[in-house]
Amino acid sequence: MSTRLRIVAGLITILFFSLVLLYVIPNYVELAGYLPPFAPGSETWPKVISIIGLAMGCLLAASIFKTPFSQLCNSADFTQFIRTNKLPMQRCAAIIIILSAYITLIPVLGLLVMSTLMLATLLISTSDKSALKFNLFISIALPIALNYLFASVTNTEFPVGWFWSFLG
Amino acid sequence: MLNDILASLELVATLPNFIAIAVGIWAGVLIGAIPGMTGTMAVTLALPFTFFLPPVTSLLLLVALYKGSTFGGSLSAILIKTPGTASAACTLLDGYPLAQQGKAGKALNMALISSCIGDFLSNMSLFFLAIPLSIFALTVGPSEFFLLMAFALTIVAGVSGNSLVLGIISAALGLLLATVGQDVYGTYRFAFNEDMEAGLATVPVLIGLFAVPELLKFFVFRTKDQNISSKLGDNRLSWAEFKPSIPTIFKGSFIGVVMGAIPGIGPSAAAFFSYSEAKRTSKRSNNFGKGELEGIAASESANNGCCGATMIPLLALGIPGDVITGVMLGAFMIHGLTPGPLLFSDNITIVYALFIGMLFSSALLFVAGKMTTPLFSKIAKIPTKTLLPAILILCVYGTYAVSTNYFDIIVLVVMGVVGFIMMLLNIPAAPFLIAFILGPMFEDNFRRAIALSRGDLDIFIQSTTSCVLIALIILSIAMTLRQQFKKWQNKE
Repeated sequence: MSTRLRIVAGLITILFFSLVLLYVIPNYVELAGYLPPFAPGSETWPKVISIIGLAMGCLLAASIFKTPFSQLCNSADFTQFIRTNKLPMQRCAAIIIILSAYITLIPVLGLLVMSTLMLATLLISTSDKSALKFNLFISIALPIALNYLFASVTNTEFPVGWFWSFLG
Repeated sequence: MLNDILASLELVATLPNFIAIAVGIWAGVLIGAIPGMTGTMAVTLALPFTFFLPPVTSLLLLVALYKGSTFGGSLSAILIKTPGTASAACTLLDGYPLAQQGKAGKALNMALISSCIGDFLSNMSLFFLAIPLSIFALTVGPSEFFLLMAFALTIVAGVSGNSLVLGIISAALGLLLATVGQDVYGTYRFAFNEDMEAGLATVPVLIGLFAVPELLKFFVFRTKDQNISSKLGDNRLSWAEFKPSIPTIFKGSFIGVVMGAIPGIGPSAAAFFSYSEAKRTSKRSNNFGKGELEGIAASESANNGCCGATMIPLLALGIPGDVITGVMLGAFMIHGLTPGPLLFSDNITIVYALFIGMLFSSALLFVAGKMTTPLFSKIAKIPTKTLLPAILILCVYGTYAVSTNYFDIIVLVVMGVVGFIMMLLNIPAAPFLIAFILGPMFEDNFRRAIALSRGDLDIFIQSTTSCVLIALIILSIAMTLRQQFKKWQNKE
């Protein structure tokens, strides 16, 4: 693991556990109305975990003191990183958008339609054009098969989507 | 006694019973292998059918489903890095790396053989040790539970890869996520919405953490070595490969039997405990987590070793140890049988018939496993670019079918993104998994023990079991520190 990655991981860890310790625990952990004096409170264990996490983050980020500042903030390195990783970064943004759209639109268009669209997007974007027909077939057939299987075996009613209900 | 056994043999050796066991095992293996579907679901789904079956047949069907699903979970864990059930999560740690090395066949065979041995020994323990084990189980209180979990958590160091610090960060994330929901005092923690009040379901978190990041990695980097659909490779498990794992299998089975007999622990914790113990004592401990057959043997023998043993508190004391045995208690009640000490005096032939049927099911599990493995090996032939998106959709459907909760799909996807970020930052996922599964039991039992002793910490050293566990914890931590010191010296 490179020093820079260690530092990034350490800083992210520090940021995350600080946020949990200073903001999330005080606001989102309820305190019991009454607790015997010897009993640890509901917030004790999350606090202990956050402090351990924070300490580990500090250990990880400690490399920052060993590395010269010029080496850490080398703008040429940064430009090089952006240039070499441009495509993966674009793909990363794309997949996050696809997944977000998937989970957001399930209540609207239903699980079956969204799964078909999601599968088609993933298969078509990662395969050759020659496999288009096969990918389209899989994208339609697999969600329908799964929908039928689970609905008939477990009697599960999958979300249909309010858009279709709205259309009648 | 011999007359009772003969009478029960007559009761159990019928075609309907054979069919019930065979169907149960097969269906269980298939259900367990589907990500998201669990043994609990299989047993619950089959419960209505038992109304129309004789008592022994219906109980054997449910037990067979339970056993089959416990083994079935390992198939998807090894082949597609997706634990079908939570108890198979530990198998994934070594199973998937072996599959990547082209040794999926060996891993599956080791999983099958260890599962069958663990299962058989567990059934034998029902025959001979039901009463003493149930008495022992009653002596295990929250303090011993807490120490058991603490010992199993020491394995975090072993699965942290190159950096213990990153491993501890991962475990801290897992422990923190496990605190979401209602605690033992009924107060809510991190319940940002109503769906989070009951806590996060284990299966979507596990699937999200392991299966989804593989898809994201493939989509983003598209490197040719992203071959999740591993080749089965050489299927045969040679004697030389199997022999070193024999003591581990017996030890794992023993751990599974003892932990299964204690109500409330379950196969997941037993698997991690056994894995931890195997890693501590193995000559190849450095290879654990990188693709070690002994790791699979430890995990699978323990989780299947639990299956028969969970029936001990149910049959001997009438206490269901987990949800599955709770459903089985319902099946007993449907047929007018009341589990507990009276069952042994009033319906001993049914009890023996159940024991014999369960012993037979171990053999059938082997046959079913042998026949199912090639079927699942077809997965290995599907190209990664088709398989990974298909797995995601399968996981989404499986997850939704279990809880019919849309929020679980969100958890699955969000955990996938978290897992991917962890992957990019080189934070290992295995410690997260262990901490997430064991964390709630660890904290709850600590708080229960403290409440019982009114704040007196002596409760943790009062019993012999506690002292043995404390010694094991100290030994495990000392060994970890020694290994870390050696690593540091080598670096210097």
